[in-house]
Amino acid sequence: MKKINRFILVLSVLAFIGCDFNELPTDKLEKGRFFKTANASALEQYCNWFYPKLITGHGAPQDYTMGGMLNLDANADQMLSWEKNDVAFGHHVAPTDKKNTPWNWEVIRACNDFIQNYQLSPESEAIKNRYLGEVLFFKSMDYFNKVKTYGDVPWYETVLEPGSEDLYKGRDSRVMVMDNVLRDINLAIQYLPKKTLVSRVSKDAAIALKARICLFEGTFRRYHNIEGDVKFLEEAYNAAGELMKPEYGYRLFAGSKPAKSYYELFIQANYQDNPEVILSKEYDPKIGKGNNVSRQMAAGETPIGMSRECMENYLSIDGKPYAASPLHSKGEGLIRELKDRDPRLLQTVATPEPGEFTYYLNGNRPAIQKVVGEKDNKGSCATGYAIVKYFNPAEVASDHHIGTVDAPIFRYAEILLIRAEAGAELGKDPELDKTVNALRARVGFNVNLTTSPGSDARLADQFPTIKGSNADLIREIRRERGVELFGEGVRRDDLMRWAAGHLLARKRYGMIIDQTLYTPSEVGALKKAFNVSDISQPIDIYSSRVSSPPIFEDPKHYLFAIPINEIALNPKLTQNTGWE
Amino acid sequence: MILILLFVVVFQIQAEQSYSQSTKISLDMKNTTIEKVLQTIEEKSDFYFLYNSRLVNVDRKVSVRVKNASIAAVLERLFKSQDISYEVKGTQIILSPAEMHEEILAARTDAQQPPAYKSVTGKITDERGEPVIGANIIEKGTTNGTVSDTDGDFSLQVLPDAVLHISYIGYLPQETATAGKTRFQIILQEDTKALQEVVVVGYGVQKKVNLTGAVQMVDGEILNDRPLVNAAKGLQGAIPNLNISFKTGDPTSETKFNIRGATSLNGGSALVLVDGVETDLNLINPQDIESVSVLKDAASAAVYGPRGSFGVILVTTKRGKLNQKLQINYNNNFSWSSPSRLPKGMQADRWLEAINQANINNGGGAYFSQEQIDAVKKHIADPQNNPSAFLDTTGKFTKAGQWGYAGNTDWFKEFYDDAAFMQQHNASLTGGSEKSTYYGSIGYKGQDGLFRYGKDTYKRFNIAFNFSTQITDWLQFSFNTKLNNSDKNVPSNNFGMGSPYYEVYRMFPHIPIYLPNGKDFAGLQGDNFNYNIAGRMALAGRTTTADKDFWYTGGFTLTPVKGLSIKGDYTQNYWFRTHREHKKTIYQIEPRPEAAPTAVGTPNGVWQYRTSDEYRAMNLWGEYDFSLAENHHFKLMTGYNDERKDYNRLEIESQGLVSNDLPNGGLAERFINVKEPGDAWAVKGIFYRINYDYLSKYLLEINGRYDGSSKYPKGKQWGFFPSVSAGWRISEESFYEPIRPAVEYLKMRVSYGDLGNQVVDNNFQYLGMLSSGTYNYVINSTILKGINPSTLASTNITWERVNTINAGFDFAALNNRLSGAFDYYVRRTKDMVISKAYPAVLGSTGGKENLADMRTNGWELMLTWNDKIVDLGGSPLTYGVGLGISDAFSEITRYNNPTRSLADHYEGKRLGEIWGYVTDGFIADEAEAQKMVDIQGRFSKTWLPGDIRYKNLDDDPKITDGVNTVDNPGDRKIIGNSTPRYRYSINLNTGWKGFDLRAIFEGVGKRDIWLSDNLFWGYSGIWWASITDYHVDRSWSKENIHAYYPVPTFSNRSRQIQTKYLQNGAYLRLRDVTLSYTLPATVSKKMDLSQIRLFASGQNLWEATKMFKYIDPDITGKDKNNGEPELSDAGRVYPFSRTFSFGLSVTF
Repeated sequence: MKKINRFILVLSVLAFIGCDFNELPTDKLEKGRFFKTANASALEQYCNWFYPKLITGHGAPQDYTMGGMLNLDANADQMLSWEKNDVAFGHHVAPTDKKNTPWNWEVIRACNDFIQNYQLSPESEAIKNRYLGEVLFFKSMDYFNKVKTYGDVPWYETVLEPGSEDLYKGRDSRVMVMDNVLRDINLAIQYLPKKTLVSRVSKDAAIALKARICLFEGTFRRYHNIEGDVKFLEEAYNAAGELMKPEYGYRLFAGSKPAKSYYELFIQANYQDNPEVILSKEYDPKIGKGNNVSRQMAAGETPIGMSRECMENYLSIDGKPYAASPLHSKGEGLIRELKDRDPRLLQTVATPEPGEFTYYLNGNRPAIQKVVGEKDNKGSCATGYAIVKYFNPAEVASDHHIGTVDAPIFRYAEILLIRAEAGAELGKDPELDKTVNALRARVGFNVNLTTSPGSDARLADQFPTIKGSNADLIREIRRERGVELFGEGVRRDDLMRWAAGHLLARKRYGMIIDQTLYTPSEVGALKKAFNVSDISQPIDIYSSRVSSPPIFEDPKHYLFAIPINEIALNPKLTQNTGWE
Repeated sequence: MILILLFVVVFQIQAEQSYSQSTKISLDMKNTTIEKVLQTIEEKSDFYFLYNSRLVNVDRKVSVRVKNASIAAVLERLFKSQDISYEVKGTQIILSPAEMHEEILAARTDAQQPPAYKSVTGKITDERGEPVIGANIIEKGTTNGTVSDTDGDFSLQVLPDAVLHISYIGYLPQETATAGKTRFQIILQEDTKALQEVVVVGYGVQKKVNLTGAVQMVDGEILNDRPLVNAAKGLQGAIPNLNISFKTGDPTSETKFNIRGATSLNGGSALVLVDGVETDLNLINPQDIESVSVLKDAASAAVYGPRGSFGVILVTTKRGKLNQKLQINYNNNFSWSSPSRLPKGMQADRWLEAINQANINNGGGAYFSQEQIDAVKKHIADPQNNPSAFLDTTGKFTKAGQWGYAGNTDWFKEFYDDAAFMQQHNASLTGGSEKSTYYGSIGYKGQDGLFRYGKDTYKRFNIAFNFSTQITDWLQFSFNTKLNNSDKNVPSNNFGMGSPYYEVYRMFPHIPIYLPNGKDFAGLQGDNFNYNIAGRMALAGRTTTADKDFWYTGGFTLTPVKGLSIKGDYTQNYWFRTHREHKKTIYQIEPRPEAAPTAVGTPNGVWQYRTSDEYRAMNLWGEYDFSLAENHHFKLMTGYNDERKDYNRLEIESQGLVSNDLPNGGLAERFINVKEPGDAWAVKGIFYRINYDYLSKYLLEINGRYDGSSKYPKGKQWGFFPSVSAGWRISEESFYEPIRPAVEYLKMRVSYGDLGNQVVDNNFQYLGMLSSGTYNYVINSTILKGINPSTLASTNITWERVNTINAGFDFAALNNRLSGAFDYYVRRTKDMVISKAYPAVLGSTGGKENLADMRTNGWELMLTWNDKIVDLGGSPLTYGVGLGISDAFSEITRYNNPTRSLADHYEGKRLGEIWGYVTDGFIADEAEAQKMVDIQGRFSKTWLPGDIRYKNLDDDPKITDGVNTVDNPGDRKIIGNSTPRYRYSINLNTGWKGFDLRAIFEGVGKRDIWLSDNLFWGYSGIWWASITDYHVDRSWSKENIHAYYPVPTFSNRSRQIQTKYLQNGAYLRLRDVTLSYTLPATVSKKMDLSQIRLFASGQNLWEATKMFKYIDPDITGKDKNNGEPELSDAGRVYPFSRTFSFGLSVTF
């Protein structure tokens, strides 16, 4: 009996086990602990999260589509996808939910969290500021995206918590927001070091972003009658000018020869040593992070093509507009259309004519996938103008994701165009020989743009309202931008800031059927599918398939709708005009 | 129909018994003459009396009060103190003076052998030593008998070698030989099949009659003699509202145990405890299971606290018994399984033409060239001279210079083996000495999968050992251990394929398996998904998963004073998994012999992880059993429980193997990724239970538990959850007497109580945390790693409360042959933790609070009928029918969805609701199709005759979704509900002459299912098509305007959720049928064995359902935790199978 008493005694000791829990996660860091202990590496790791969120390039590695920039361009008029693009057609509706919209505030929250807490880090000011610079770069970029999409948006500088009153505040004016963005990107430029790694954000990239933002905001304000346009145009002009300083060392990529330089620029597997690229997005199939760009362009399930409107914007080799050049005649077929043009045309789209610029057509007709088929969709194309910018023939295989082609996010050519456009808008020196003419010279197109170009009726029709003093020059720079930056995802933004949305309400045309390329029955099929009665008329891409024509309502379609649910949750949010 | 069947069975078969034994007489007469009593008996029965009133005094006054007594017992009582003898012959009873009786007997025996009657006496008690009053004692083979008196005593004159048959209601009948003995101590054993059953409850056992909560138990028998892949399969259909479902047909598939329908929006399933410890039931050898108890309501599960909030399944494993001889059992089982509802492949040319037609309808051209189709036709007509693979010189097939294919492959036939073979072997050993008991078992299972190419295999080996010993008279010690090893080996998947089970549906039938040389695979490399899955699987690297699971439990029982026991146990479990996925490069032979083979699946590599989880649990509890004033019984129990679990995992991915054949992470060019996830949680609680019963008639139970969980912030960690239940055995009341002959047993029960639920989707969501991430991004040729920004801390969350009110009754009737239970319950899951709907500018999801309530209403009914036909061809035939029906549905009663958006739950929502359009037929002609471009423009700008016309339900002329809220859903409405209603099961069993036959049917009475998958629609683009003859024959065309499916296109425009294609998910399935035969004892004795059984069984052999032909109704059984169905992967998983098996069981 004694033993049992002892046994029970031992048990009662055991029963007094503490009543607190001290479990903590083993694979995660508590917020307070993270910032207090964050060294340079930890701060860099924090910044890494932003890259896949905001740097689009050719889309996410291992994605099946042909990627980000090309898809973005389908929102406008220069590049056409086979299925009509709802946004380009003005057919999009107000989203119910924030899902898949830019009305996502994760990035802003993460930036503000860093901004509020980074000072806790034991690292030196220089290192802390370097990463603060990166965070401010991304915050500026995200707010830029939001302002482009919605106009006025609420501005936040602190991390919101569930009880915060600011959760339910109204929108701040874009003037205030963009002034703040300008302040932040200037700080980022101040804190960030010069470029050493082309795929990491640097001072150079921040200046480029600033130039892009300021050109957008300056022209947007100017063409939508919002105060403060000059300030932003000047900032754009100066930022571009800064990067043009020799100390930054940027120059245009020359390639193997002028006739291929532009094409070659976009099929590089790495831009680390490329003199033109300021920031790039990398892809590497060797480590399972390839892209699908070349494969999808040539053999993909979702054909794309350059629009006729865009094709005609390229000058004739003699420097005259396509329609006005004696080298070309109305109603000529595809092969002829593409010949004797600004050399960038045959480095952007493929010609069926065998030779240097065939890339993959090589005498074959462009396959309009659902009308004139090729067995493996070789040369599949939506308009007849098969795009080859970014296309690397070595990367077309049955396997997905073997694409190595890196994506330029900011390149020097855009900086030059910003300099030229901002200069022309401000009435300052557009430095044409350093900018537009340098771009032409790179491809061996030796027709120089002068400060007093002749008037092109087509351009005047496209851009009737020019507010700068030298309207024809501004129009020519806009043409140049459309040509040089084709497929880089900036076209819709350009049309919006120029208040040129009316271009999106126009019919979309493609090639003129070249009867030497197709059998009579194929010609018949094409004519039927594309509403062509007169063979010298271009094919009408959508009319027979899409009954509702493209529309563009001003001012409605210059901005997008805020998700309906968000307005229901916060009545102080007002909907954009036309979307109520 | 089923009910009718049941009643026919019940009433048709009436056992024939000797009248004098079967007739029960009840009398209540006071101070009456014997003559009057005898007359009353004659009136009440068929008996009649013969006596000489001069010799037998019938005028004597007596008082007699008997209840359901046999005639012998009545007569004994009447004439006990009298010198009068009686003799019963059929319905005739002869009364005579005792001496005269002797004379008669003497005269009779004189004529034959000399009589040698002896007097035997005895005492009849139950297991607890209480006397059994009124038990029948009959000399076997005669009508000679008596009944036991109030002390349980009896005496009887019998022949010297007579056998006594002793019987009493509620006890097992017994037979005792009298040879050489005259004094007997007979202990009647309670008939556990009936009402004296002991049920395992939380931290103890309870007599079934004293239960007050909703508890049901099944015997391990239903698991032991069936060829089960795992125990969970054996429990399907065993207990109403115990809903067991499997994610896939894979033998290792995840099992979900649900009790009584939807739980919490955060999930929560039943807690499965094996010998008191939470265990994965898949790892338990079904042969080791002794019994399974299911605790359904709050009151019964109360003592298990936080993880038992949605019911508890208690599994008890076998152990030896004291003083039991060593018993060794070996059993085995061999089975063959094949997919239950597999489509048949289409002939290749028909398939190509169907795809072309759909592509044309879709606005494109013929996708496959005429040359391709012609080549296939030629091959089919004359395969000898038209090979299925050839050098494509024209580029009309694939690409010039590559393989062109023109075969005719039925992929389903090729992909799946005819049958998957499985074998199981189990051996066990059990027994006990005076002080110790032991049970040991060893089991092996080897299962081949269904793949014909790249065969998948699964092996399991397990050992269990239970031992307990009485060290001193106050201390018992026990030790249990279980070890499980399992190995799974399947082809790995590194070719950008989805699940191979889905890939097979979309294989192009003109691609052959082999090249013409018959040994190299064709189509290993292929454009646009047209490749050869069989070849890829055959050559692929392997994915191996090895699990090792160790359980150790040590425990003790202290019994310091009578009625008090103190128990404790400590369990530790280690679970290790090594998973290795070998991403191997494979090679396609090219048609031109000079060309090097093409590599597929580059870069090669290996992905592996190691997991080592640790679980610890400690329980300490005491129970005190005592009575006050004899009839007031108390049982007090209190205890402490502490559990914690730590998860650890290390994951490494390497690329560029030095050797393509050796998947070693170190023998590779580079590391791609290293991860080390980990997690932990802990719960603690103190609990108590008070049982009170008065005469086992009025029952009361009070429970409570004070619980803490690591998942909540300080100050919110602890909660108190009380419950109470009561029972009333009406059948013990005196006013119940008149009903008792029909319904012997009736008990009413009610219970009410709260339980805490701590299931939340993250163990530390009260903290703002930064985790590591590996991003889909490259910087400097390295995959980018980083730190994800801080999550939003939910500092305000605490326990969810699960409140259950339960009312029910148990009954037994018709001599205990019919028994059953009914329960109705309302389960309210209160304060569920959900994300509050904040404006998106918050920039974070999360922000959770206890904001939602849900109510589940349900009921369950279980009826069993057990009986036997005493004599059928010389042997008794036993049979039983069990029927279980249950129902449950849930409604959200509080939710934070201010806009009532249909994208989320909302207040008033019935869980499982399906919102959809109403089908208004097919679009008839071109003109109408043109109109639809505007009206139905929301889905597509192209419409064809044969596309679906949706009904306009609102004022807007267009078909829209409105603003996707409850109040403005556009042209949608609730068209169905996917909650399974009226789940039922029928168990039939019968035994005769050593044969036992059992069948289990199981089904769902009502359910709607929306199938959005390609498998159902067939046409889903060229590369995602799953078309079969079924689809082609049933699709709309100008010739077939009354078709089922719309005109074939690749668009989703006609596939919106709508009434026409809503599936009726009701089904009835023959889950199991098993026939076993036990060899006669004489035969097994000759072989020196104590028992030999042979059995044959079939699982899932038959079903009746209106479901889509190629989807198994079981796949619909998978529910997400929150009660919403998850059907999206239908057809992309290991198929459910039909299984045949046989085996034997030998006991030494």
